[in-house]
Amino acid sequence: MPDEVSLDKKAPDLTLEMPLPEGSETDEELILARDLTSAFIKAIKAFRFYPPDNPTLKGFRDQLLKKFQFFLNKYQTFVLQVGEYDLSFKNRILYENKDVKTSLAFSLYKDGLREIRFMKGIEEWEVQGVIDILKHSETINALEDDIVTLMWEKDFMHISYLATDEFLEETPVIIPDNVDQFRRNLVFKPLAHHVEVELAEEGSEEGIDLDEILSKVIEEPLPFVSDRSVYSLSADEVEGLRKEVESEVDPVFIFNITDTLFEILALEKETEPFQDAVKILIKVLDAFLTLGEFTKASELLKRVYIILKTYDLQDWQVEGIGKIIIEAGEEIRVERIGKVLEREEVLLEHVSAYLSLLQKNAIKPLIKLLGELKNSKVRRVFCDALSEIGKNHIELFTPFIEDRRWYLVRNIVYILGRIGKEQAFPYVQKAFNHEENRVRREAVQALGLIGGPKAIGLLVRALTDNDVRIRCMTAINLGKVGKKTGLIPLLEVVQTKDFYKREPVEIKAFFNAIGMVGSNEAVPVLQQLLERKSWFGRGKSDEIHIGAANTLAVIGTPEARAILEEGKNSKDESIREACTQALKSQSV
Amino acid sequence: MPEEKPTLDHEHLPTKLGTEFVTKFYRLLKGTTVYDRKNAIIDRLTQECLQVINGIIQSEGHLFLKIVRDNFFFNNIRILVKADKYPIFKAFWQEMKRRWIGEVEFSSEVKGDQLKDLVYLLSGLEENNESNYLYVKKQLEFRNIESIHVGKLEFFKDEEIYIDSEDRKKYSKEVYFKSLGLVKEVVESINQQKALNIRKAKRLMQNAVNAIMQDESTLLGLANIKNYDEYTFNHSVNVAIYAIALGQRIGIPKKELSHLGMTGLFHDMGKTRIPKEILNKTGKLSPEEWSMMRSHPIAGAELIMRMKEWGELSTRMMSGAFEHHLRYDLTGYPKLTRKKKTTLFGRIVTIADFYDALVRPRVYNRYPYVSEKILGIMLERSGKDFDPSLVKVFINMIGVFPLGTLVLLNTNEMGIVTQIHEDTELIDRPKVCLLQYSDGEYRKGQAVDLREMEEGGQHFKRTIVKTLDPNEYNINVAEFLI
Repeated sequence: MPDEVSLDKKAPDLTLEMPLPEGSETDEELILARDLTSAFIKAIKAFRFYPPDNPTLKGFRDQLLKKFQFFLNKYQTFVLQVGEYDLSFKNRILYENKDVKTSLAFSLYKDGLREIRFMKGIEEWEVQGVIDILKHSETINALEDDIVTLMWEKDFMHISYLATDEFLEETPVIIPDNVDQFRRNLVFKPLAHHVEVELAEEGSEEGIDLDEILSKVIEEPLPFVSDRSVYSLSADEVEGLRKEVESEVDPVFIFNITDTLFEILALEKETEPFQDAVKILIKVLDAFLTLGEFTKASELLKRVYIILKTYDLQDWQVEGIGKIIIEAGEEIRVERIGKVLEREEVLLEHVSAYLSLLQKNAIKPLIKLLGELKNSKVRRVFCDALSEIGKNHIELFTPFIEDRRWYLVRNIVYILGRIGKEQAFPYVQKAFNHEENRVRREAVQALGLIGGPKAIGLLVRALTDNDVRIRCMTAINLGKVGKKTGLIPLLEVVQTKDFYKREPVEIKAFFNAIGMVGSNEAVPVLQQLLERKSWFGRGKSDEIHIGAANTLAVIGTPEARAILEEGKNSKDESIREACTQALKSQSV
Repeated sequence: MPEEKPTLDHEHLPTKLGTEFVTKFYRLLKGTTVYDRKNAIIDRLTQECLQVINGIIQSEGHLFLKIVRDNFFFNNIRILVKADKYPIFKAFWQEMKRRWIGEVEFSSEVKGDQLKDLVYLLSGLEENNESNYLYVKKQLEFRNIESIHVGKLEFFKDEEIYIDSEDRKKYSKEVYFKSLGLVKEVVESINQQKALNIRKAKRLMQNAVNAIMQDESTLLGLANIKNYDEYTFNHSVNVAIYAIALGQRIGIPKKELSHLGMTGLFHDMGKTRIPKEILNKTGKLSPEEWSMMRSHPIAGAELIMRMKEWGELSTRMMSGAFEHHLRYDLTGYPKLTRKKKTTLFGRIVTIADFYDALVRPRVYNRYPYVSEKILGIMLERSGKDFDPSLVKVFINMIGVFPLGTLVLLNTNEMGIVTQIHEDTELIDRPKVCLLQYSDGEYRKGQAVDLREMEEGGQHFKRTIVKTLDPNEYNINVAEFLI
C-alpha cells in the first residue's frame, strides 16, 4: 500500500456497461449481489487452484474488481453476513456449503467473522489482499493467525468486518462490573525485587532503596511541571523519531535479530536454546543469500569464525556453531547463490569474499554450480574461491577431471594450477592429453604453476604439441620453472632447421623463455643463431637475429654483452640493427 | 520512485499548513467549551485561527480539511503528522468523530464572526448524530455564510463503532481483563511446556490498538491497576498498553503497533524461568539470586525463539525481551559482547516497563503510588537509562499529573485525575474526579475541568497544589478508573 496517499489517486474504474445477469429474482440489487458473490467465490477457488504465475488469475481478479465497482458505484456498500455454512445478503442466502473442509463460509465463521462489508472506492490491492488471505485460509497456522488477524493487518480502507472473539475463550473471563467485584481479585503480595534490579548500578549486589529515592520530597513543583521546554520535543528530535520509525518498519529490520542471537550464543550454556539460536542464524544466512546480500552473509560467517577462535567453548558448542559454516556450504545454499547471480548484478568482490569463507563441504556444490555459470567473470571468481577453499583438499576436485564438459575440466585444471601443489600433478596430467586444445593449454599453465621435475617433463613434451599457442605457453612456462632442465629442450628447438619458419609469436616466445632462464649456457647457441646468415630472405632472419640479440641482452652476462658489442659492428645490417636495439633496450 | 521525505528545512507544505490550521482550529474549538462568545480569550483564539485560515486562502486559494479513517488530508494531500503534534491531531480527530463531521472547507476568506458561528455550532452539536453535518449546513445557509462548508464523516469502520464513551469504556475493559487472562494462560502454558496460542494474543493486542487509537485514556486509566491477580500478569498487560500508546504517538503504523503490544506483553516471559521463591523474596538477594534475576532477558528471548517461527513479530518480541534492561547507554544487563544500538521497540518497552514497575504497590503500601516524581526520575535518567526523545513523548502522553494521580486542589478538595488534555499548554490542567468522604470511605464526586476559569476570566477556578499518597487515605485510585 502506498505510503503517501492522495485522495485524487484512485484505482481505474473498470466498469463498463454491464449486462444484467439472468436469474429468477426480480430485485436487481439481489441479482447483482448474487453475481458478485459468485464471482468472489470463483476468484478464490481459481487462486487456490492455479499456480501463482498463471496469467488466468489476473483475469479473475480484474473481473471481480469490475463487478465490485459496478455494484458499489450503484449501491455504495456490499455487506455479506457470515453464517456457519452460508453467506447472506439482506437475509437472502447467496452461498451455502456445509462441507467444513471446502466451505468458505465455514472458514470465515470459525475464525469469528460475522460480517464483511465492501465499500465504494475499493481498490485493486484490496481485492487482491482479500483473495490472498482467503485463498490460504485452510493453511493458516491456527496457533499464530486467523483470517481476522490477517485482515486487520492489511488495514483495508474500503473493507471492514465484524468479528467476535468469544470463541477464543476457553474459560470465560470475569470482567469486574463494580468496585466490590474488582476488590475481590486484588492481591497483596510482599515486595519483589524487580525494581531494585532495574535501578541497581552495574556490579552492585546490594540493590537500592526505592524509598530513599522516592522519599526525596520536593517542596516546589518539579522543574518540568513549570518548565515545559524540558519535555517539549525539538525539531531534531521529532525528525529523529520519524527516521527511527521508518527504519523499524523497513522489512530488513528483521535482520536485527542477528545481534541478539550471537549474544545468546555467547552467554548460553544450555544445549537446547543454543541450538535454537544456531538454527535461526542459519535461516538468517539463507535470507541474506536469497536477497543477494553477500556482504552481510560474510559478516555473519566472520562473526562465527571469531567466536570459534576467541571464545572459551565446550566441544558441543564448537560443533553447534560450526554447523553454521558447514550449512553455509551445503548444496541448497550454493544453488541459491547461483540463482541470485543469474537474476541480478552483484558486486563480484562481495561474492568472492563470501565464498572464501566456506569450507570443504562447499567444494562439490560449488563445482556443480561452476559447470552451469555462463558469465566468465563469475566463473573466475568461483575458481579463485575454490582454489582457496580446496588448497588442502585436492582429492575433492579429481572426480571432475574426467567430466564430459571440457569447459568444466578446464576450470578444474585452472584451480589445480592455482593451488600449485605437486599432489595435483597426476590429475593435470590427465588433462594434458585432453582432446580439447583449451584444456591442454590450461594444463600447460597449471604445470607451469605446479613446477617440479614431473611437470617440467610434461612441459617438454608439450613443446611439440600441434597447437602453436600451446607450444608458446609451454615455452614460457618452461622458461619460468624449467631452469637448466628446461633450457636444453628450448635450445634444441630454436636450433632446428625449421625454427625460422614458425610464427613470429612462437619464435619470440621461445627466445623469451630462454631469456627467463637467464643462463650463460645459452650464450653459444644464441651467438650461433645471431651470426647465422639467412638463406631465405631478410624477413625471416630478422626474427631470429632480433630474438637472439634480445635474449643475449636479457641474459646480460659479460659474455653475452661482448657478443652484442661485436654484433653492433657487423657488416650484416640485420645483425647490426638487432644488436644495437638489444643493447639500447638494456641501457634504458 | 518514492517521493523524497520532507527535510526539516523544506517541510512538506500541506503538512505545515494543515498542522497550523488544525492546531489553531482545535484550540478555538476547545475554547468554546469553556468560554462564551464575548470572552477575550475566545477573541484572541479566533483571531489567531483567522490569521491562519485567511493566510492559507490567500496563498492556496482554498482550505479543505478532510478526515478519512484516522488520516487527515489538507487540500487532498495527506498530512504527515509528527510526534510533537500527534496529541493535538488525536484530540481533534476525537472531537470531530464524536460529532460525525469529517470535512471542513473554507472557499474564500472569512470574518471573525463567521468563524465563531462555525465553532460554536460545532461545539454545540449532539454527539453521535450522523446528521449533524446537515444541521450545520442549514445553519450556515441561514446565516448567509457561503464560504464555509462542512461534510459528513464518510468512512467509519465497523469495529470502531464505539463512539459512545460508555461503549468505549466497556470495550477497553474487556480488552484489559481478557489480556490479563491471556497472560496467565501463556505463563501456565510455558510452565507446562504446552504450545502457545499466539493467535489469541494477536487478536487481543489488535483490539488494544483499536481501543487506544480510538481513545487511549480509558486503557491508560486501566493501566493504573497493578495488583489484580498476579502482579506479573498485570505488569505485562500494563507495559503492552503503555508501549502501544507511546508507539502510536511517534507514528508507528497500525500493524507494527500490534507487534509492539505483543512485545510488551511478552517482555517478561523469562521470569517464568526464575523460581517463585526468588521472585517473591522479601529479604536481600544473594549474588546467585541476583544473577538469576538478571538472566531473565535472555531466558525471555529464548522462550520466544522457541515459541515462534523467525519473522517480523518474533524479531520484535525477542528484541523487547532481550533489551528491556540493557539501558540506553548499554550499561544494563545482560552484558553485551558487542556494543550495538538498542532497537526502538526495546527502548519503548524499557520506558513502559520501568514506569509501571516503579508505580506498583509495595509491601507496606497497599495501593500504587502514582506521582510526577516517577516521571522526574525518568527525566533525570534520560540519556543514561532511557531514550531522551521517547521520555519526552512519554511524559506528554502520561501527563505531568498522570491518570489516577491523587491530587490536592487549592480549594482544599481532593480529586483523582481522570483525563489529561492533549494540548501541552494545558498539560497541568487535567480533568479531575472530586472525592467525597462518606460512610468511612472516599467516593466519586463531581467531575471538574481544571481549565475552567472563574467569573471574570482572570484566574482558574481550581489548581493542583500537590500530589498525595493514596495509601495515606486508603484509596485505590484504580477503582475510580474501572
